[in-house]
Amino acid sequence: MSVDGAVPRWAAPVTLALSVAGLAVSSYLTYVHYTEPAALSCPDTGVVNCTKVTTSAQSMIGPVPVAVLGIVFFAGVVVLCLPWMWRMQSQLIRWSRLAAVSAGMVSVLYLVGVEVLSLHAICLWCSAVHVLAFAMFLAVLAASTEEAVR
Amino acid sequence: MTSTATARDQRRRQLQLEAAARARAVRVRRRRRRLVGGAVAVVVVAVAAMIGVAAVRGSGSGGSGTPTGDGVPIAKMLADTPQQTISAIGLGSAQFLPFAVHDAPLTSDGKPEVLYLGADYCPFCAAERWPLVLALSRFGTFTNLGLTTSGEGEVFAGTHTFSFHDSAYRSDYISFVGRELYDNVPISRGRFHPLDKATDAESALLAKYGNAFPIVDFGGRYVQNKASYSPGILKGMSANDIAMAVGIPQSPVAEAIGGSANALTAAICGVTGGKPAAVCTDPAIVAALSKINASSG
Repeated sequence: MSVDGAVPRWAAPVTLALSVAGLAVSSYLTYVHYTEPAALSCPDTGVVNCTKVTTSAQSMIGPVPVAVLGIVFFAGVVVLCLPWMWRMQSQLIRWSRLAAVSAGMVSVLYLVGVEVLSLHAICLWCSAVHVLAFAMFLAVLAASTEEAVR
Repeated sequence: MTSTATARDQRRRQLQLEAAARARAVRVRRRRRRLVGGAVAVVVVAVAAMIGVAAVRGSGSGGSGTPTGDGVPIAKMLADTPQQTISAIGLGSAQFLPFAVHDAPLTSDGKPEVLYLGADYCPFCAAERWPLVLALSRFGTFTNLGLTTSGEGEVFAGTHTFSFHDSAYRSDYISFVGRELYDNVPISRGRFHPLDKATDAESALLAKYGNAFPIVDFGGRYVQNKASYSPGILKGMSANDIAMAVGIPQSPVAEAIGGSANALTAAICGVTGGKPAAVCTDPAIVAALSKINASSG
């Protein structure tokens, strides 16, 4: 716990680990998207159906697959969560980090809505990305709160 | 005296600083708890609301591309069509019959296997499922069978039919494997969502016999690799209309579906060794099997 202006000690390792994990899962989803969508390691019956989600019309935003946007998001967050970025006292970086994870969280809610309300199917790999983005959002929010109260 | 007072002041300032630090730590903890707790609550409420709305709408609201009705009662209507009505049709207006092949025997559960590979969007599969369900109903019973329509944007769009996705079938004579490899909701023009997965061996069979849907393999002895009749015959009819029309002698639907069903039944009799006799000794089936074997050379 820091109340003297320092970043909490857990912030850098926790957020870096979460963002690297998110980057890895997004990369896998992107690889599968461009190779064989049906080859996704995931059950494809009933409500849990990765293939149905990842090959749906909503899996693309314009010409860009959502999985690629996931890579872009987590790659950016990896950079913002590097230890030396946390050590920098820049307000710009702090607000950029918060804005990024907040945008990620809004995207996650939209995508969960598409799965539940439109496709009636849940993709386990996508859910893993959603949970990681949510955990990242909470971690950055908690760490930034400590930074802000000095 | 003076130095004692100064030390006391320093001690008091030290205590004030420590108290201020403790107060700040408490503020941090409270603020963090409020923010993180609030964020968690917002997300949980949002996700719960979406699940609630989905539950209220119900799973049968469509748009998912999965079968949208219970096909078992319709299959029972077909199966209840009097045998003599179907028998009298002979090969009816069936245009394409199964042909003999010499592949490795296709079996599962110790019985000859009838393998169907198709897709929910495919209008020719939509047509072929009707005689196939009628033929299979002579050898066993469907305990789970969906209803669907062929894909919009395709020729003969919206043809009412069964779907073998997640179907279940029981028979003492044969095993049935029905796979719909794609649903009927387009991703883009001509592309649909994958549904059932074919095994490598099934994919190889599909490739061997033209790489087009539908394909029906009867135990590795006979193959039907195109629709027996045109889906146009079913245009504008509901599943119930079609099942009822099969029982109307000389109707175009009965001629097409009944005639095709006799041909498919004959191919099945060809792999069950003529069992059950009540089905396979029917003169229409015997004649159809002779014709299939003769035309296959």
